[in-house]
Amino acid sequence: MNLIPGAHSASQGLRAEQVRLEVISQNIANARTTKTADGGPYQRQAVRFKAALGDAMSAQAAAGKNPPTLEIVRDPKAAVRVYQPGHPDADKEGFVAYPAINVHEEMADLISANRSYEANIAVMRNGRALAQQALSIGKR
Amino acid sequence: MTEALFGSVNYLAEKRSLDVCVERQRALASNIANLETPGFRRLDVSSQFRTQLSEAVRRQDDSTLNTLRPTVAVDTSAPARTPDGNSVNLTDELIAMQDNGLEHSLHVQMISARMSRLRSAISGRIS
Repeated sequence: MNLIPGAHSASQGLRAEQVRLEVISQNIANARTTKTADGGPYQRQAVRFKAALGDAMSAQAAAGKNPPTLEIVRDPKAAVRVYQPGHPDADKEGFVAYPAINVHEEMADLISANRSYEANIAVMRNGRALAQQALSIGKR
Repeated sequence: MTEALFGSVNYLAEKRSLDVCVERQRALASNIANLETPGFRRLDVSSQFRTQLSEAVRRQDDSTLNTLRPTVAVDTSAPARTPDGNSVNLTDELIAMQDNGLEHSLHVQMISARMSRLRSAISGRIS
């Protein structure tokens, strides 16, 4: 049953933003990680949104069924090399590879994800108000 | 007999307008959810449907009103907001959503008012 118009899109949007928040927090937490399980420094991750039905043109008359999906991709940006001879992960020349993560960038992205999350909540609230009004038809 | 009570053109138009509001809420929800989808073009109730509806009301054509269903189409008039071609503007969408909510409650009130008028006609009491 689909009582709240737009609830499906909004819930998928909320989930997508949640994953995005998670990825950003992982990036910030690993901003100085020089060694991961695969050996090298941590690689920044990014999310890529896609409309579920491919391009919007095929979404004709299917607006309620066109939520975004997302995939997590690795940012190919090369690591930043810092001269730090005493560091356990330093190479022969004394350079340590740090992940190319700009905390300011991540924070800006975090705020944007937050706002999008709130926007989807607003959609939910509005859809609910619509359904409630419809239920009041004919009430005295 | 109930057809005579609920078959008038205005009542049918109200019902169709309510359908439009629900369909538009769906379209706006999908727009906002795809705020960050690259290349996503915003959706809205098609203008073609809107002209069909107003035309049917003008002609008092109840058979068209009975079968007309709102359709959603890509809004080609919206300019791209980002370089990737996404045309969803959060402010505009939220305003449209508030607008749509008010329109929905207007139609709900019109339908409810018609029902309460009928009720007073049937019972002979003003409720």
